[in-house]
Amino acid sequence: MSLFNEFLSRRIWFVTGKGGVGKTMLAAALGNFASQFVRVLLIEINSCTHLGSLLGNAQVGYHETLLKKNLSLIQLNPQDCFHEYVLKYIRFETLYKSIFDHRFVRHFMEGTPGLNELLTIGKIWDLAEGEKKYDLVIVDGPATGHSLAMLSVPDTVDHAVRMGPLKNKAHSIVQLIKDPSKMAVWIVSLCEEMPVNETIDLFLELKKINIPVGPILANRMWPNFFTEAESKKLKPFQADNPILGHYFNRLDLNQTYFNQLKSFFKNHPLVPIPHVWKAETDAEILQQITTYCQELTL
Amino acid sequence: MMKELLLEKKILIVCGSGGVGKTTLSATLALNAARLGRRAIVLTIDPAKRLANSLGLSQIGHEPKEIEAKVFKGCGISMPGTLSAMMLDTKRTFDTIIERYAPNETTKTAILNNPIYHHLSNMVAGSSEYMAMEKLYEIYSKGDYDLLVLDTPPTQHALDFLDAPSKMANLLGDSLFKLLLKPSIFLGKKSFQVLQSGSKRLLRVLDKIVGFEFLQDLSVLFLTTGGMLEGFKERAEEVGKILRQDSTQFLLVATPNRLSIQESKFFLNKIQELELPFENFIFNRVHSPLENSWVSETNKTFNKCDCVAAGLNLITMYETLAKQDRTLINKMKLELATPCTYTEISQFETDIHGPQGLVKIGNALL
Repeated sequence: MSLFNEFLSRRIWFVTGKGGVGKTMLAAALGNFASQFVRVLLIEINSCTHLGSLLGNAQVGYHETLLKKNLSLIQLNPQDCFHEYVLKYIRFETLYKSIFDHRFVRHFMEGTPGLNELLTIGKIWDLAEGEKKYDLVIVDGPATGHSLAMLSVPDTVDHAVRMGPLKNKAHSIVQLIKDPSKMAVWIVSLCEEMPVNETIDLFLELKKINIPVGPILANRMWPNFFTEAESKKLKPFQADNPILGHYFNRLDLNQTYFNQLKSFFKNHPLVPIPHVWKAETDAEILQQITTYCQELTL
Repeated sequence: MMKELLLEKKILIVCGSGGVGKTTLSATLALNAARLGRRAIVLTIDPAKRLANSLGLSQIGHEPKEIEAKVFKGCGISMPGTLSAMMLDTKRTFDTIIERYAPNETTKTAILNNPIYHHLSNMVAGSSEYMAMEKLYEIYSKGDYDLLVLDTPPTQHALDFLDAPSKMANLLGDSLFKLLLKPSIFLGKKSFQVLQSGSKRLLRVLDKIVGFEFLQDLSVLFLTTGGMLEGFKERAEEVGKILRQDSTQFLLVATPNRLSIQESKFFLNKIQELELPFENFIFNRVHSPLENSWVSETNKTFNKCDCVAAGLNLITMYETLAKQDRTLINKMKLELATPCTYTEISQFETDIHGPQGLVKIGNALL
């Protein structure tokens, strides 16, 4: 049984981290992993269809598409979220068209900070809690700053708006994303300075607003090919050998930053994910990481 | 090519997806410009703490600060120009703008205490793009520097930044916005009666969706910021012009992996769609092929240390990584099919923090 199994009872896994750390690949691997046990919906928020092409179907849009048994994918964009949200209240497509296809309403939407984030997290709520078609939704979230904005905007609206449908919606989202039995944010990191700092900052910020955090994933761990005795013999050569120099420098750096994470996350699950270099395609990388997740033990 | 860019342009905007090294490259470009004799400044979003520390930037807030020449002493370079740096701090800048442009004390206090303003300015979403734009405009129009290098937030943010001027201008010119500025909204829903039928219908629908109270709160914010909005709009339009002038250049940075490259394509489309000036594409952190002489040298070492099998893995890994990078870069060039200059920077063995590191990359680019 994998270390990740205990998180299967939650309703949302929200995967985030600094840009470029490999969030999408890990979200896909987690999706693969979880779909062996429960019905999973992967949610992509970015503007490109990375998850779709990674999982073999690049044609996914704003509709849930079954990729394989127990694993579906949807790609969210604020425009469609807005459309759907509004239609719930006014019910008539013609009325929507006559009003919201107006240039100025679109501008209002684009120009109001936070509105896109609220609509997106609102749709995630619908998918996770409203319709209950899936046991678990896994969000391939945006980078740290934007994710934090998305996770804090319901609270903001809940406090800043006095009453009305917007406040009600925001309030129910807050209830869900602060519930440790239903929500887990997975933070993906790399063992380098910036990603480690950002991971720790994000963790503290999320604690501050009471959003439950799941495992921290230290991605692309540099492979250690040598035994301790071999390394000892090789290291004296690294100063004069650019290949050994490069290798051992990166290895040391990796270890230093992993230790930094380890000393911060003493009582919190921290999981190293190996750097997969022996693979021809992204699909192969995905397969290897999925297998790794399955075999992960405490 | 890079040299001409640094000598001739006034604004360089460095774009790319997250984690490709934009911040370090932006600092390097500004440093190189200073080495070529220009007064350069880098506007950065969130530099690595050690990079900021090593440049003596840890103390500054959001005002430009010149980096002392002695920082680069011992790096073997001469710097006839100057290098300055500045960090963008969204929250503080937002307040500063209100403080600067509010017509009087009462308005200023009213805005800063408005609950919606308070929450909006605390959120990173959306507002940081407006602020980057404001700051760019402010520094550019002061004219203290020959070259501004702007580091942008990761992809989606940066797209918002590009759209910000037109979004802002559109919002302010728009009739819904003006409707919310009408004091009649405080008469309650009865006020709908006096409006034209189009506006009436619009307000009814908005009432259903977001609630009338929210519209009223929003209206209070708009009313208090009222006098300042024209200023916002003007600046937004000015920035739009600045971004398209001949002396501005957008640079794209990517690392050789499929996702980063996919995002660059997306980015390039946006740049072309917005008709922004673009000629340079940088591949960062490229695994260079191993030199044969070094491979045989290293194999000898493995022999000596009795670890030939493990050593083979290491060599295979580096060769695989170099081959993968080469394939991806070639594919990317083919797919982009855009006339532009490509530059490659090798993957270094350590993180780049200090002045020495910047000079090292700088040399690779000059």
